[in-house]
Amino acid sequence: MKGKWLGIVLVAVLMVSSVAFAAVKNPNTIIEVTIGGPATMDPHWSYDTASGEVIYNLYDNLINYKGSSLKEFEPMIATKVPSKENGLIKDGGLTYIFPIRKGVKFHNGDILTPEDVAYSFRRALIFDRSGGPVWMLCEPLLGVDSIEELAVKVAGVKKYSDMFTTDKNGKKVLKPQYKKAMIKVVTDYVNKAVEVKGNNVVFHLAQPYAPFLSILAHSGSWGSIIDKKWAIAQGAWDGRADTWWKYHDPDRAKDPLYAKENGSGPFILKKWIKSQAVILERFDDYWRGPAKIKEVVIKYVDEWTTRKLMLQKGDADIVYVPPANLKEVEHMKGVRVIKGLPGLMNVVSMWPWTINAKGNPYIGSGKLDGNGIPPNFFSDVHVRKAFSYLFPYELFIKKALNGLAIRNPGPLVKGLLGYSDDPSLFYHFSIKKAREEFKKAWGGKVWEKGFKFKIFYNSGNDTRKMACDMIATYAKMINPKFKIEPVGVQWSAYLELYRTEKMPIFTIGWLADYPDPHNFIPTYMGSTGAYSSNFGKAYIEFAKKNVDPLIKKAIRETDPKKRAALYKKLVKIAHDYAISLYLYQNIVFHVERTWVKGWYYNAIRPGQDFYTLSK
Amino acid sequence: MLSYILRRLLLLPLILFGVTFLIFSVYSLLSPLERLATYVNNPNALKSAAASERLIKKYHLDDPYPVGYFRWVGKLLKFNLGWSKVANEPVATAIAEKFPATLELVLYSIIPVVLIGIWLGVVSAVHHNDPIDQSLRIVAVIGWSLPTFIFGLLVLFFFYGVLGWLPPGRLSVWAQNIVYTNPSFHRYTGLITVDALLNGYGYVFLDALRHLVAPIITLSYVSWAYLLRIARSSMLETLRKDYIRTARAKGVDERTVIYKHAERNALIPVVTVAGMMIVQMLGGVVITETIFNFPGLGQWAATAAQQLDYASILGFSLLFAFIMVIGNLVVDVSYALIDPRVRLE
Amino acid sequence: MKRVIKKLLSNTASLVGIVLLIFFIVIALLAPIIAPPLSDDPYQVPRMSWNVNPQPPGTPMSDNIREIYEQMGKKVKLTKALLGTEQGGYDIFYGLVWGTRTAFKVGIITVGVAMIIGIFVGSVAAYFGGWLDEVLMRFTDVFLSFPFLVAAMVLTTILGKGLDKVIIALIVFGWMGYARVIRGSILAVREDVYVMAAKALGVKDGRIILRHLLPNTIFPVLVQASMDTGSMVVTASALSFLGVGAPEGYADWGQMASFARNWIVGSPGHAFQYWYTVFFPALFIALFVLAWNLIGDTLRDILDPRLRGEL
Repeated sequence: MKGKWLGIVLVAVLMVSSVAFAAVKNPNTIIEVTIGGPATMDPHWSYDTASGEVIYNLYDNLINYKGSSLKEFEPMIATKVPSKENGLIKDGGLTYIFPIRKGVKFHNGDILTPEDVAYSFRRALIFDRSGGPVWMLCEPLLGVDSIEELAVKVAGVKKYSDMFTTDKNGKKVLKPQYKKAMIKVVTDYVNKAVEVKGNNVVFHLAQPYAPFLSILAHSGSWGSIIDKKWAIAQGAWDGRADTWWKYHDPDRAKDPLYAKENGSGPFILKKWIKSQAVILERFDDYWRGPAKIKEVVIKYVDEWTTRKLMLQKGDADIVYVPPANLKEVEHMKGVRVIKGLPGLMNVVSMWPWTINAKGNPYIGSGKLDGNGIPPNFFSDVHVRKAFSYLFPYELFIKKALNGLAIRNPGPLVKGLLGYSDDPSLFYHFSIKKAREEFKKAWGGKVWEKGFKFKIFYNSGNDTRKMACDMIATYAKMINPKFKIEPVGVQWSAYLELYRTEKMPIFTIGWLADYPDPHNFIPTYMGSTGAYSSNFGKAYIEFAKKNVDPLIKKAIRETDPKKRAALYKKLVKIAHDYAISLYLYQNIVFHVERTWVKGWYYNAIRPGQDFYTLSK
Repeated sequence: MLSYILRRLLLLPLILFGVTFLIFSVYSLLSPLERLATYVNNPNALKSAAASERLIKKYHLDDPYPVGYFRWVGKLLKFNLGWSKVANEPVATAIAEKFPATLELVLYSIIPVVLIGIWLGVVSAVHHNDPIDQSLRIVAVIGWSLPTFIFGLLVLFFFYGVLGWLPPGRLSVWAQNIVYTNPSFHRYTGLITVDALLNGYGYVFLDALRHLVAPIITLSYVSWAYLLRIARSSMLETLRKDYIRTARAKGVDERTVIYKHAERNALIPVVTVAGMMIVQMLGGVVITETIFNFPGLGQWAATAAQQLDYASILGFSLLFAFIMVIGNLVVDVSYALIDPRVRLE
Repeated sequence: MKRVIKKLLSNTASLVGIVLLIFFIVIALLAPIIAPPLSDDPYQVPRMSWNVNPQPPGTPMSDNIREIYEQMGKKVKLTKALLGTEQGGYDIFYGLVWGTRTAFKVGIITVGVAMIIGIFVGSVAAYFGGWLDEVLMRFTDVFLSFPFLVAAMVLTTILGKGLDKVIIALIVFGWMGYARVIRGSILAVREDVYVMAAKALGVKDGRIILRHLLPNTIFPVLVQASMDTGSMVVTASALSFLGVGAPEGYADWGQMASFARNWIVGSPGHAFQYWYTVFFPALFIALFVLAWNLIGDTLRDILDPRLRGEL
């Protein structure tokens, strides 16, 4: 009897709560549902988009991008954007001066001072966790890739770990003879790179660095301004030169700022329910004025079907939609889709000029006998050009990406300085030309004997699989002796394979850290690039001679027109030498419910800017 | 009895040790660079060989087998389970948070599993070879033939997509706010339904319950289908027993024969199977939790396995081994207590 | 034996199972004729087009794919996707047909090898008893302590994608049940008179196990095995669903079903738009498992001495 009543009540409650108001759901909260989940709240640790999104809304930087622009800045914590014209960039681009705004409050009530700004950057430099983003500050400010490199130079040792011994508890202890040198690292370099002068913060760069402002701008979590007093109270670096190595590159568990925040941004971190959701609450004392929306919830749901249903029901306001599924939401009631937004990411297929043949089962016989390829197969430009001609670029974009992509002539993406649509820089799909190039390759032996090898994609990524399948299919169509086999491998195996240079062709993408060609060109073409450094000895020598000098020149060049010309030259080299197969640049889209107001696009921003949103 | 229990408990450390050994051996099949993949999502992090080296050294990814193993076990003995990369918190914290969620799901699932499975099993046996029996058998066999993920997705589609009654996740946004951020809400047990009642938030209780219905439907179907079978064959066997024949001959009415005499005895082996199934369910929630976005051990385990997050894998493997050993022990002991004919060796 | 087969054929449930099984066997045997391969590896499902979105049944080949295949020297017989295409243009019909072979491979090899390992471990432990029994059973317990699905996931993630890796993982974590069952059975008959007699006569232990003990105790294992054959296919499909297992484009029902997960709910207003991506693979998986389960279920009833009179 009782059970019956309980049952009736339950059903009633279920029905009432599901007869959702056709009106706006959750009117005081914006709910975003996306994939993944943040790794940390520490701006100097964060190097993933999910963490970046949350940090973007909790912290402010010195300068911000103006609306949707990637080139124009506006003041944020600084009151003026430095430029040559207003005299705040001096000494040929070696000095940047930022006057600091007064009266900005942190979430706990502390007032922001120039000391906080200087501390933020100094802490970043000494923190420099391995695999983290701080290399972007180390390069311009210290002229090295990491602070360990600098310490090694100053101390005169071979490796950073040479300066340490392990005590019986397993903790690393600095050998006393190196203490002086290590102190010097901070007093003579770090503290000089960023210092307070009156109400200004002054940066002294190690070299002229054109993208420096982009690196500092709001979107890069590493440029966030943190509260010195609060950070020290949490256990972060105390600012002293004689303790910094104890705070350098800690384990994530030991990072005191990993789950806490005290920024000056428009939202406070109310709760981080790990791997499930992030709850943000409006900071009423925000210096730009309080946000329009009171609460923000970011939910992390990996299953697409679930996200779609949440969007449909209005339980989600903004949802991440994979490109393949765009058609399903385009005509959904109450949903707005904004298309045609150029994304700052591309996907490229790359071939090492010298493949590592040691224990490599992917190059078959290792010889040009029809059952394999020799390790230097791709060092012949005709081979590379042939592949560049045989790929059906337009068909691929239309089919695999539903048209949501554009081609790039080289590693540069549209929207960045130096990009050019010049048709002569593109390879146009032509089976005829591909055939000609193959016939010329390796003195005709390629055509005669054929070849056999494997190419790779990151398993689970169907788009890249399709690209590999197209390469294999069209090659075989040209000559049945061309046998290519696409193989999908897990990320762990993939990582090892491309770092050990064993894959004949590997296809991978790149998402910009900051909107400047210097983030793309060295990666794909330089001798020490994240990808191109894996192209083998022959390429590295080529790059050292032909590519690196231009990159170096371009980074120091302060005249944007001259810089653009240099980058265009580099793209031409990429084309003429068919350095890689440049598949596509993503065209991004945004999906939200129609009751969401105030959204704007900025290609470099990680996630949403909740400050401008309302319902 | 006591010595038997003690002997079984002594096995626990042995098994846990075996588990760590097995996992570590599998882990050592990977090269240091492959192990690095867990820590690196952004290729920029490996700008140079030096950067990779740094990371490898930091996380001791290139230790030879014995050194690495003892480093692991050493930490475990100090109750340091390490850091869960996929949960972004220490493994121990992750377990403390996710275990109650899965437990809640499994405990509530037991009710339909046991009730429906046993009830239908008895009905099926009583109507042996009748159309009712045949159709129930078919329903049951379909139950464990249909892949859980398809059934789960269909449940999600129908009850959420079409009807809108049962949304995924564990709580609605407003309830989540109360549970996680309201200082007056004390999380005594981690089971949100229980905690909500203890704290006096009736609506939160109903909300949590509502989110449990769809996963329970999915999770329990396979289980009650299987239990139906066991109950059926056990009941059939009991109904053939002499004492049943005697009761019938004595003129006892059929209902009393079935429910008073047969069922009670038939249920003995069923209870032990049910006990084992509960333990099994704790490992089988992976797919259900993934589909319904339920933040329990299953979803955590699946993500950790996909990303080769070894600390997490070790963490829940040890937890599961612990549950298995203790759970099986409890089941065996209760079996002996219920059925006096059973002798524990 | 004859009696068993006769009983299997007369019971409705198992008859249905046998008919289904024969249906699958025929498809598997005739695969190269029903669905001629279009690539070097017959288990590579051919694409009917480069389209990312699934296409409904009856869609013809597009994007000049037919010309491409013919230029490669392949004769194209199936120009229409009879049952539609998966995401990426993979032909569902082809996948179902060759997936039958895959299913049999996975089911039979996994269960076969796991059974042999399990029987070996279990019978040795039961026969010799003592410390060997203890050690072997603890070893078994360690493996049993892993949640099966997750353990298989971890192993396949490390070993890499591919059906052979899936089979290895399923075997490594699947033999324990058989070990326990055979051990239980042998323990019950270990002290029987005929075993004592054989020992007294000096018959070697191995022979005793193989020729005397196993034939009498193997039936519960066989029943279990017949039902596991089906459920291993379900587990393999679950592994594909979770992202490990057969690579994309491989002719495996589980792989096809997992492809379908993003298309189960179509566009609003056309909720079942992509029904064929789910329906066909799920149907085949369910029927395959059903067949084995029906047979195994009835087999258990037949071989259960306590139910002898009833069937």
